Amino acid sequence: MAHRIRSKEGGVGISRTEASVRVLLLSLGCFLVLMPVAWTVLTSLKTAQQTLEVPPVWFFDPQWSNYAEVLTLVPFQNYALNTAIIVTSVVVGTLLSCSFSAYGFARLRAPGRNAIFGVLMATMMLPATVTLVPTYIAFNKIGWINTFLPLIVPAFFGSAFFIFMFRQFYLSLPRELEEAARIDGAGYFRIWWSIFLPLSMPVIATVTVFTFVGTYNDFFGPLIYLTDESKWTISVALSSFGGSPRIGPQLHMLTAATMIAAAPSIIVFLLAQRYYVNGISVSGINK
Amino acid sequence: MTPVPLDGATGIARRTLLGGGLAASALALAACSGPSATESSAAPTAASTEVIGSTDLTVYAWTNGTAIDENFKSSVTAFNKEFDGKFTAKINFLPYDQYWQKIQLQYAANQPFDMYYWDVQAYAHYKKDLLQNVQPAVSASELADGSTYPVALFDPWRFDGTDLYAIPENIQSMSLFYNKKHFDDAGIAYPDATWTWDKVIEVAGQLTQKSGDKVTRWGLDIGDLGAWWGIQTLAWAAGTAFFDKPLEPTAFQMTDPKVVEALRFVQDLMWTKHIAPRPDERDANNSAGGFAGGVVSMMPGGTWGIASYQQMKDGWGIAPLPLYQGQSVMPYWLGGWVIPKASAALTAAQTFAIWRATTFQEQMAADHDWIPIQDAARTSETMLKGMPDGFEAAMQSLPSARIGDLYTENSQKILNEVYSTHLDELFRNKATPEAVAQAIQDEATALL
Amino acid sequence: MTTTTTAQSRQRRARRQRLSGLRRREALWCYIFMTPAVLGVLVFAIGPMIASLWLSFTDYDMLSSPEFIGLKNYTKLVSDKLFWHSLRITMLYAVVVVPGSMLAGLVVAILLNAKLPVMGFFRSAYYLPSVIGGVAVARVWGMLYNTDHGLFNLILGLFGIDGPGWLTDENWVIWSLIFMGVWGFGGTMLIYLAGLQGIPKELYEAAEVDGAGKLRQHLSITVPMLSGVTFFNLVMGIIGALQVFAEPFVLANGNPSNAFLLLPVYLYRVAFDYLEMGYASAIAWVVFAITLVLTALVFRSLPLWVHTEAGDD
Repeated sequence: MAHRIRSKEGGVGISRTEASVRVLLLSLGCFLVLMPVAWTVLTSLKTAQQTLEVPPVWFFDPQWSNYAEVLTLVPFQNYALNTAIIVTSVVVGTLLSCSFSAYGFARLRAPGRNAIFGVLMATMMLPATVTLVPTYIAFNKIGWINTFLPLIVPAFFGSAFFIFMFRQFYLSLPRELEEAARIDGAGYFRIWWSIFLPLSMPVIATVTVFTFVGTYNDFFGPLIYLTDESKWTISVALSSFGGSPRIGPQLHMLTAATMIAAAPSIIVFLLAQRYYVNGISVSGINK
Repeated sequence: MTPVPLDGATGIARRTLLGGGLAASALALAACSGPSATESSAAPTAASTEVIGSTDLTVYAWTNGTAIDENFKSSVTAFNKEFDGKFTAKINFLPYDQYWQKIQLQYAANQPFDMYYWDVQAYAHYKKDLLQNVQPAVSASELADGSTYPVALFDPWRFDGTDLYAIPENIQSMSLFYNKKHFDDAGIAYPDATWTWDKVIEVAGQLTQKSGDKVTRWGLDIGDLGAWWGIQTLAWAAGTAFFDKPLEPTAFQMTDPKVVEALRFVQDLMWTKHIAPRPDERDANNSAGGFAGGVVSMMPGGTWGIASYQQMKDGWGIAPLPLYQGQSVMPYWLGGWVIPKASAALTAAQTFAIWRATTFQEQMAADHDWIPIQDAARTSETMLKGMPDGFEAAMQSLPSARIGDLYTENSQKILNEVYSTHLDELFRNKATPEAVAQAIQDEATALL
Repeated sequence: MTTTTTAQSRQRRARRQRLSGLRRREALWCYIFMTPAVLGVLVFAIGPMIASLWLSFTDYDMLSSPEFIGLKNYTKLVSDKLFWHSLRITMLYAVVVVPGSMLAGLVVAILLNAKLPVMGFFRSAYYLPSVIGGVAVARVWGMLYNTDHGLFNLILGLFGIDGPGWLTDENWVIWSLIFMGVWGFGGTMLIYLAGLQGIPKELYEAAEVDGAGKLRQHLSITVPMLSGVTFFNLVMGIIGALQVFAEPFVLANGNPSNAFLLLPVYLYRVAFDYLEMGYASAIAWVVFAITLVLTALVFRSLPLWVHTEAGDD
C-alpha cells in the first residue's frame, strides 16, 4: 500500500522583482555581518607591526607568508589524525543517538516520557563551570584522562540540544506517515530508520554542521582531558597564538591561524548546503 | 498540539533516574574529597642520592607564543641529554587560563602535576600544605651561593619564614621605556638614572605632538603605573607601601597621606596636567599597543615587554624608573618552579628546576627570553648584546628592589575586586584619590 | 437482551485488551528509543550535577576536602553586590539577544529561502561568522570597537555621528556585548532554514491565489508553520544566553570594569580565580533555577502558539 508525500522543492520559486529585493536586502545585511570576518582576514595579512598601528592601515602588502608561517609553526599533520578521529566519532555518535532517542520522545507514548524529557532538558541548564570538577574527577577515577574517551563516548549517549532539535522536527511530520507504515506491518525501529531518518535530511545536515563546527573548534575539552601533546587536536595547537600575560596576542598569527582552522568547517558547511535547497526527498519511503 | 509539561513523572521513571543518578553522584562525591598532606611522600633531603618518584618527568608551563616555547623545549632536550639514563623530561604548554584551571583540576583529582611554573596563584597551594619544601635541594646547589646569586631577593618565597617553596630561575623588573627616534628628532638627551618625574613631565610636554586639537603622539603614557604594583613603586619611593608586608600582610596602608599623594600624582598625570592620555584616549592610542606603534615616547613598564618590542620600527631603550621625591625603588618578580609534595617525579622535578637555575643560565642569557637569576649570566656579554640600551644600568638597582607581589590566600580577589576596580575609578577621574584610598583600605581590610 | 450486552461487553473488553497490548508495545519501544539519552543523563550528567548541588552547601577550594557549611553560600549571595550586578546585566543581555537573534535569523532565513543561484553564496556568508568563532574573532571585535580608530566609529563618523566608547564607556559595554551576541545568529538562522524546508509550497500558492501579500503570507503561513522551530530557538536561546562565556571573557581580559561581568564570567572568576568552588556552585544553581523557571514558562505557554502535526497524549 503506497503512502506518498508530495515532493516539495525546497526554496520558493519567485518573481524577478522579488528576487532583486531579496538580493538587495541580503547584500546590505551581508555587509554588516561580514565586517568582523573581513577585518579578521585583513589582520591576518598584516605584519605584526601593522596590526598595532593606529589609525589602522588600510592598504598594505598582503603578508601571505603569515599563513605559511602558521603552517610551519603548527605541525598540523600531527594533529590532523587526532582531530579527524574525535570529530568523526562525535558527529556519527551524535547523529545516531540523537535521531534515535528523539523518535521516542516525539512520536511514541509511554508513562514518564515527559518527565524524562524534562530531566534531559534540565541537564543543559547548569553552567558547566561547576560540573567540570566532579566530571573530571569521575573520568580520572575510571582512567579516561589522556584518552579520547571523555570527548567521544558521551556523544553516543545523546546530547540534549540535538535530541531536542530532532524532536521538534519529528513533531512537525504528519501522523499518517506512521499509520500507513503500521498498516503495512512495519515496526517502530523500521519506521524510524526508513521513514523518519530519510525525511530528516535538513536536520541531519544542521546537526552535522553544528557538531562538526563545535567539536572541531573546541579547544577546551581536548586541552583539559588530553595531557599528552601527541594527542592534541588542531584547535588546541592554535590556542598558543592567543598570547599570555607576558606577551600580548600575536594578532596577525592568531587571525591567520583562525582562518586556516576555519577551512574544514567551511567545506563541511558547503557540502551540507544542498540539503537546504533540495527540501524533503521522497526516495526511500515505503511504497 | 499539547504542551509538554515538565512534571507528571510516573513512579518508575523517577525511581530509576534517582537510583542511577545517586550511584553516579556517589562516585563523583567520593572523589571530591581533597588530597591530604599525609599522603605525600617523605621529603627528600639534598644529601640523599636516592631518587624519589619516577624518572620520567612532565613539566608544565603556560604558553608564551611559539618562539619562547621553542626555547623551553630546547632546554628540555638539553636536560635529557645531560641526564641521559637518569631522567627523561617532556614539557607541555597550556594557555594561561586553562593552565591554572588544569592545575586545580589535577589537585582536585588528587593527581597533581610533577612540577609547574610559578605565578602567585600557587601561593594558595602552599597555604594548603601541598607544595614541597625545596630548601634542602636549593641549599645543596649553587643557588644558595650569595656570591653568584642575589640570594636576598629570594626571601619573599620563604613562605614559612626560612625555607623556599619554589625554585627561582629568572627575574623580571620595571623600567622606563623610551622611543629613541622621538628623542633624537627633538634633540633631547635620552633618560637616565638621574631623571626625576618632573623632568619626565617636562620632556613629555615637548615630545607630545598634536594635529589640531587631537594629540597624535603622547610624550608619556602611564603604562604600568596603571597597575597597583606600578603605583606602589611611587609609594615605596616616598617611604611607605600599600600594605605592611607582602607576605601575609596584617594591615593595609592605603590611607597613608603619602600613598594618597602617589595616587593623586598618577591621576594628575592624566587629568590635571593631561600630559598622559586619559583612559579613553589611552584606549584609542594604546589598545593597539601605543609604544610599539610609535605613538608614545615614554612609558614605564615591566621588563617582559622587552621581548615584544623587538619588532618595533623605531629604536628604543630603557632607563631606571624616574626619581619620585628623590628616590627610585624598583619592583621585581621571580620566575621559577613549584613542585607538589605529591609530585610523581619529585627528584626529577627538583633536578630539572635546579638545572635550569644553574647550568642552563648561560643558555637562558643567549636565548634572551627570560632574564637569568644568576648574576654572571645576567651581566654576561651574551645577555647584554641582545638587550636594549640601559638594561645594564636598570639591572644595577636590583639589590634594592622590592617584590611586586602580594601573598595571601585570596590575593586574587583583593587585587581583582578591590584594587583594580577602584584604581580604574581613579584613572577615570570618577573618584578622588582620598575616596579611592579609603575604599580600597576598607574593602581590602574586610577581605584579610 | 442480556446476551447481547454480554457479547458486546466481551467484545469491548477484547478490543481494550488488544489496544492496551498495543499501548504496552508502544511504551516498550518508547523506552527502547529513549535508552541512549537516559543512559547518557544517568552516566554523564546527573552525577556531576548532584555533586555540584552538594558542593553548593560546602566551602570547597578544590585543594582540600569540601566542608559542609549549610546555606551560607546562598545567604552570602543575597548581599553580594557583584552577583546582583552580573545577574542584572545578564538578564538584559538575554532579553535583547534572544529575540534579536531569533528575529534576525528568521528574516534572513526567509530571504535566503529562494531558488536563486546567488543564495548559495549568501547562505555561506551569513553562516561564516558562526564557523570561525572563538578567541580571534572576539579580539577582532575588540579592534572594531576601538573608540577613535575602530571601524564602527569610523563608519558612524561618515554620517557625522560621534560614536560611543564601545568598550570604555561603562554604559555601552553591555550593548557592545549584545551586538556581538546578536551577530552570532548564524546558528538560529540555519535552524530556521532547515525548518522552512518542511513547509509545503502549496500553502503559499493557495494564499497567492487568495491574493495575500508577501508579508501577509509569511505572517499567516511561515510564522505559524515554524512555531515548533521558534520554540526550539527560544528555549535554546534562553539557555545559551544565560551561559554566554567566551566573548565577554576575552573582551573583559585585562579590563577591570565590571561592565563585562556577565554571570558566567563572574562564575568562572569565583570558581577558578578565587578558588571558591562551593560559592560558585551556589551561583550556578541559582542560574539553573532561573533557567528552569523561564524554560518551564515557555513550555507551559506552548499550546497557545505552537503548531505541531503529530501532537501527543
